[in-house]
Amino acid sequence: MSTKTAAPPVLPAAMGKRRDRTTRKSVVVKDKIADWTITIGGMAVILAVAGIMVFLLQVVVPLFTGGTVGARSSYALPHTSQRAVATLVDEYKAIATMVMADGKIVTFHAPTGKGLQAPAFDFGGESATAFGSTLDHADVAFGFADGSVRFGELKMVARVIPEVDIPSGLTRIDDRDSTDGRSIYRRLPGNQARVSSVEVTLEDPQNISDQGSAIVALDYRVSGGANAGVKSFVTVDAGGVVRLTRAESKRNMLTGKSRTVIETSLLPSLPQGTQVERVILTERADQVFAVSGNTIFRYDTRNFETPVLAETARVLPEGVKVTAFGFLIGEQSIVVGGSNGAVDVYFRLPRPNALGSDGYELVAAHRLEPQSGAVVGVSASLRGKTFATLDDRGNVWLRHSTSEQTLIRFDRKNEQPDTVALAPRANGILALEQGRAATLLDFDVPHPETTLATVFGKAWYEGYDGPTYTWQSSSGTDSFEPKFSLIPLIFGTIKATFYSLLFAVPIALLGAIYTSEFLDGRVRAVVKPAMEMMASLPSVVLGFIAALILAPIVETWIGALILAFVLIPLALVAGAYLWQLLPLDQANRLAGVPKLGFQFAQVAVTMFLSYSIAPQFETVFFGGDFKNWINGQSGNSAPFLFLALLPVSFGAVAWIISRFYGERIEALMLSRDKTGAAMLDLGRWGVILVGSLVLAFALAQGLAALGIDARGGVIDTYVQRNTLVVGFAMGFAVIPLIYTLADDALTAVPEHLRAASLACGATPWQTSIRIILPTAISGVFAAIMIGMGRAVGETMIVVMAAGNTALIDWNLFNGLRALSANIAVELPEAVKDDTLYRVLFLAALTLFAMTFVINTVAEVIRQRFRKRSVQL
Amino acid sequence: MSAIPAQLAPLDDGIRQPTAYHVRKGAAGTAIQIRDFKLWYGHSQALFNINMDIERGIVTALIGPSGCGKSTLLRCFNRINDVIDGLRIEGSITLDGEELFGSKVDVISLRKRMGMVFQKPNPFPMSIYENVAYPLRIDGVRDRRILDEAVERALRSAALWDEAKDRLQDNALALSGGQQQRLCIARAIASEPEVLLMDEPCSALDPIATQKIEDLINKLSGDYTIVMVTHSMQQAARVSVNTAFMYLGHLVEYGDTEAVFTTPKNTQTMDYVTGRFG
Repeated sequence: MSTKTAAPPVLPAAMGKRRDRTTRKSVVVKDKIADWTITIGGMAVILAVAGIMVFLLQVVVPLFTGGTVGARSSYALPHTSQRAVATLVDEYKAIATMVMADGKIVTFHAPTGKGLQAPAFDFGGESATAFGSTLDHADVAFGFADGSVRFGELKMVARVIPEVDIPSGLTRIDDRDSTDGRSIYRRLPGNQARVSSVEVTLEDPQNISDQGSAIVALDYRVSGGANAGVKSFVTVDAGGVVRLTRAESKRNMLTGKSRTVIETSLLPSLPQGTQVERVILTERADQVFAVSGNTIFRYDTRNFETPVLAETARVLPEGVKVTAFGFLIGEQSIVVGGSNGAVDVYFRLPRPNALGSDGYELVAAHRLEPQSGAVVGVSASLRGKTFATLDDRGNVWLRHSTSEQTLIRFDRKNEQPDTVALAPRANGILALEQGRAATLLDFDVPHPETTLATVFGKAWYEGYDGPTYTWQSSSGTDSFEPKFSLIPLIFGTIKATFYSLLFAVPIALLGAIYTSEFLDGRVRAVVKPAMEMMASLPSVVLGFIAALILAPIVETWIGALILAFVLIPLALVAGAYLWQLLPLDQANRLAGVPKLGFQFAQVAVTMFLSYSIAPQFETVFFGGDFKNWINGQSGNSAPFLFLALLPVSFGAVAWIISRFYGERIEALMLSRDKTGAAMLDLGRWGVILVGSLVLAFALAQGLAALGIDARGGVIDTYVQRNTLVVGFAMGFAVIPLIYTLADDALTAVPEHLRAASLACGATPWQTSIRIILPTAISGVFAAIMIGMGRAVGETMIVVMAAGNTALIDWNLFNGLRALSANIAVELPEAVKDDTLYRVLFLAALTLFAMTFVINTVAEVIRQRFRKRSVQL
Repeated sequence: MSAIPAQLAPLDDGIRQPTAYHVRKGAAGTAIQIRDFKLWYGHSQALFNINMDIERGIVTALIGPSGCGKSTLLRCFNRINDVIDGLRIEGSITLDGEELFGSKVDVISLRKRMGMVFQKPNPFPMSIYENVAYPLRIDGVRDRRILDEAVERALRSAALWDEAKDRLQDNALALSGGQQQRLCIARAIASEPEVLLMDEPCSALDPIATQKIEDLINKLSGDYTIVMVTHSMQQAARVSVNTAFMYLGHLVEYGDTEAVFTTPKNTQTMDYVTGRFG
């Protein structure tokens, strides 16, 4: 250190080997590799999510696009001189048939028009004046000028034969089909062929009209099985007489002989001068609809002996005629086509002040887009509510009744229309022009019933009083129409989320406040991971426990449960007030574990108390049985209102007392010693409690007297698997999540704020509520939102414990069907690419959107919170 | 130290401003009495046999190198240390003859008698008004008139009124560091405590802000018994009447500030105040 040795310090560089200061190659390469890997990984994640989105969209979009039009073939028809009374195409669009008034049948190959030989109905030179048939045209009836009616069958027969059985010498029609002159042979995959042909049978004439008056309108239905067939038909003769006839055949099982009973009922006469143009009846022959001009006359024939003219409905404006008229499959919807181009669908619905004398009324449920000319033909699909309408300018539109959309416009100009036939599978239309030429249009409309309006809005289904949100994807009958409104499912998701958060949020937040602000750090280090482990319970286990164990327990002990919800908080608060009475040294000595032990004991005792006095509680409050009470079978509404109003009136009385006597009580408290003040405090609480009991009782009686009843709203009929059970089970899944995130947010509040508040003389509770919670509020909010996201997406618990009833009601004691549960339940049943399948994907997309929005909001709030907490 | 004349100069807001010098002459008895006080964090002992009488109505400075236990001692006065796990004490501290550590002590009401100012300004993330009103709010005061008066009085006493009166509803975090610290002082005195504990109140502030806080401390002494932990010996010399020097958990020397700085009895004190170590 002496000055004479103070030479300049020797730098390493000067000592020879210079240290290399450039970055080594391997480091650069590793850095690049890491850079690329991370970039690629990140991009891949984004791509994967985007890919899922694209996939979902791609599955869903066909629901809302109309149909695709395929081949269109027009051809002239062989020997046609007259109008066809009926035209039909078979299931496979192989063979088409026209029935002429003289009984001749023109059969031809549907795609090309190549004529085929076919049997004919032998009317013995007569010409039919009226024609009627079942919806599938298999059973036909002809009315004649002499007032007689002949029945027959017109069968489109299709059978599959192995390829070896195909006869030789067939004439080839096109690349798929060949013919032997009578039948169409169509090659199928797997060395098979389908043979399509037409078969007819005709019965002897039956005289219906006594005076031999000509039959002008006719409709025919066949019902019942092989042993007890019922043929019903309705005829209108030239004299305007409407007759309903039932022919019931019963076969004696022992003798094998069949006996036919024929009954005829004369329907009440229509107003003078009414010219009935069309008549239809239902399969059970309980309703007959006759059309004249713009009016539908509806007969109620449920009582066969005494039919009544139930309703006279003017369905079109004056001067407009009904020019097309017919049922859709199921015979609940009646399509009315007008000479002004109107196409309306009517339902027969019960109405309080119905126009009909039987309490029913024809209601225009759907008014579809009108056509430019008079609607002259309607042909209904046998598979759904799709139908084709033909106007007098030759335009054929394919429509769907429920969704009210026009699926395909097949506009033809200046052609003379005759009839239109929709293929049974609603995948082709055969349009005829005055029996001279025909056009077959192939198309594919896979999802006619879904539009954004039917999926997310109300749709008016058959048999419903009005437009509703309904989810009902399957049923037993053929004529059933699947109902795909997602709204009940979205509602179910929201309901499950709402009620479970109602249960979970207070518990999770109070728990988080307790562990972050009150609990010793060492205890917290045990409690928090334990709570987090709760989150790892598989939700299927929770659902299982909820459905099979919790639900029956809750059902049995619902009274005790309600009582416990009231008594436990009450007991804990009472305990806190009593605790203040303890001398300070005792209180300090017992503050730790013993106090916690007391609290647990208190909860246990209160639960036991609730359990013990539950029967008495039910007797006093719910007239003996909660489930009867909630159904409205016993008791009045006051008891529940009393319980519901208790917190409100407690708050009100507490506010009034603190507003008017608060200062005086505070002053009084300051003048006492600690025990005295605590006594005063307890007394005040007691007064508030008694006051609120009185107030709640008075209010409940008052409201009940006014007729206000909670039943029918948030509480109603009790179902075992209900929202309450879901709330508990889902609470179990959600509480740990909210708890741990909220606890993190609360703990992240800087220690110096806590110290500042405590140093001001605030209690830990005041510090938590006034400083910690407001500071951490965005983090806590984000925790709740993430819990909500979990609840929205939760599947197994709602599948198992919610009962899966797709209803829209807030009833706590009823079940629900959530979007997620719906997907889980129905996807195994869905056929790939059919409507249900795609609607389920739409449900998935909706769910995705909901959780995406919730999580994004949570994340945005969390980011803001992070920014703000940096300031502190 | 040149600070003395400045303290004697009358302050312009007309409130009686006893200077440190005056107060020393008029000091009236003991506020806080510490007897054989020992403290452990877990197994390590942080304070050894502290015996000390803190006089009422004057500023007492606790000085010493980092880790000497001066903040620990300060934090024992309002038992803000209680929340630390594994803390154990022996001996006694009394405030006006009342034991601080005892089973009969209500910690909450004890803390209400002592305001505390921390090293780092720690206003709550709410308005200036609500920050100052906080100690009254938690006592259940809801009368707007009383709150307004208390806030104004506290802010005037903390020499922040002129700067803050037009922006009482602004967020306190928008204030500058020095203003924030004065706000914390205003909050500490809003409920009119008997003792004001200050834990290095100026260590996070620039010299001008420090000057203002020191002026404020001078202004407040007399009305409050102030105990201040400081790292700055100049500050201790400028504002305190009595100074305690602590080292490694022991109270090494305690007495009149002038005496401690000019004629310390202990060589460690001498070394510390002359800057040999610390």
